[in-house]
Amino acid sequence: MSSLRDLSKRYGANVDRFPHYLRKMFEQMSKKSQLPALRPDARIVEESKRFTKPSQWKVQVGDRVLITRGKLSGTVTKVAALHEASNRIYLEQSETRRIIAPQAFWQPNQDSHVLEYPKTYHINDVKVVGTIVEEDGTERDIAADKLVFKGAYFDQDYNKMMPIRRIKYNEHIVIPWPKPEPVEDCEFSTPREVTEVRTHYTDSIVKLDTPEGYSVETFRNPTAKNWSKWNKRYLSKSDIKKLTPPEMPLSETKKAMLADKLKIKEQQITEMSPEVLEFIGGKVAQHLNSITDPNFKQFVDANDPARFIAKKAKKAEEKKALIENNKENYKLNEIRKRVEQKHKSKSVKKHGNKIW
Amino acid sequence: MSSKKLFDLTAKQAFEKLPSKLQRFFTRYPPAPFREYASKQTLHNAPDANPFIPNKHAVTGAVQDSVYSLRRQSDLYKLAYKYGIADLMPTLRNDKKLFTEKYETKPTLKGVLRPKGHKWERTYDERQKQIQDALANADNLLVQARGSKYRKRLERRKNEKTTWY
Amino acid sequence: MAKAKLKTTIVQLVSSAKTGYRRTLLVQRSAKEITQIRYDPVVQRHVLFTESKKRKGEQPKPLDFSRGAFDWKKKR
Repeated sequence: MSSLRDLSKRYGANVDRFPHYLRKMFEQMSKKSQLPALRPDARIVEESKRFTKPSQWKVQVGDRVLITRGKLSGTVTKVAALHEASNRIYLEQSETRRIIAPQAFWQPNQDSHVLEYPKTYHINDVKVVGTIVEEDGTERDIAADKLVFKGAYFDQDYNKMMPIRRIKYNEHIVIPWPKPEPVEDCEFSTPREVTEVRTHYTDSIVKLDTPEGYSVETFRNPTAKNWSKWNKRYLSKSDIKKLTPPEMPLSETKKAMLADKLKIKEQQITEMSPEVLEFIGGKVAQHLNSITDPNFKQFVDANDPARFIAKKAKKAEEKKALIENNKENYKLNEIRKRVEQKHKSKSVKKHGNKIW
Repeated sequence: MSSKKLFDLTAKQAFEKLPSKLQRFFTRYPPAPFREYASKQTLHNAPDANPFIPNKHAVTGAVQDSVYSLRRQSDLYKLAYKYGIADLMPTLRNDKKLFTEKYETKPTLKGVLRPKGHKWERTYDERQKQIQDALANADNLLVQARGSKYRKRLERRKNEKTTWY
Repeated sequence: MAKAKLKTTIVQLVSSAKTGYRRTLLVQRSAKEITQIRYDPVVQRHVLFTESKKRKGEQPKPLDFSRGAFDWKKKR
């Protein structure tokens, strides 16, 4: 049963972030919310203060131990498990507490809700038991009052460096660590020989051994689901289909309307016929040839469309002439710019040509 | 008296002198002898559909906006008037008339033609008559209010009235 | 509390010559209908002015048939 503190990462607030004086309140709250069977035996310790090293624990699973407190004081038992959350140990022979276990937690041969669950013990309530071999060969059990950890060795069974456990004031007496149950290999575990084979050799610390064309971008699968759908590098056919808007389907009435509009447009007269021109022009000429106001003449000349056409044409011609005349100059300017850019210093390129 | 002509244009030249607005308009909508335009609302695809009048759609029956808006119609007409070809324009929307034609055909405002006058002007004669009638009866009323003695006093006053001559 | 009734009231007199000329007076509430003969400048003569609005005026005294009986008691 994992502690509520561990579960709180997922389901609740991080209790450790709150001030220390609220911790008790949270503990009480969490205790109340739990089933009595699932309530922790002892206070849960915050992660930073939990034991990690064997020298902190002073015992390991399988260690023989003498209980010095409680009903069972005087009994020599073995350490059954280490409860990391509370820095306490479970013993094979220990005081128990009666809990009402829900059926989900029943053991195979259980038929009653009432369950005797073992209580945890503190390290200080317990003394490590070791054997002394005396001169005549007899073995004697002794319980260590205080322990000291001096020196270390590599333990093959624990597969790590273990401190040497000695009795204080009698540092020649060593209580060796118990042999743990061996971890059995399964199908997926790599055999030891394989792990110990060296495969990678660096030839230079200067040159990187990444292959050519290897960039951060290649880490990402361009067709991966998480690639930004607005920034796809390769569009599939379905993508193109989804991204192209469909043509607006026209209804029958709309088609008819468009056909009607087209018909009207086709019927429109685009060219002036000479008879009409003659007719209108005659009237205009009659009117204009009889006017005497010079201001009106000015008005007519100002609104003469030929003037605007001429103006436009003139402008276009001038522009063309300008380009033609200065074509050589433009080319030379381009070359000059290129050369200047080439010989510009870095700071000038960045900050511009400063004239002090 | 300048007898010198400012313009001496042929028909083609004169037409080319017209502003492009009018040229385009007369290209699309040739004037009266060549094509007639209805002065009332017709179907939009009728041969005599007037571009200045909102015409009905032949199928939907909905009234469509005129090809030329009111502003543009007036613009074209005024421009044509300047060049002396206002007669060649189709009828404007709502039979709009401009310049002298408007002055002559448009009826004057009712208020200008027959001013109503103020209330006091209208009731003036009636009120004056009322006063005259009341005045005629004034002496009788006085006598009624104050008695026969007053009448005698009035008569005495009349007799003893002094004059300047 | 409601406004106390004054002893006097404003009275408007209208010219009987139908000119629209008016004059106002301050009279006792209990006064009878007032008519005056005053100058009307519109017709330039004296004419009768009568009240424009009717008012209560003098209320007639209720008839007393007691012939003075128990008058001595009333004083108290």
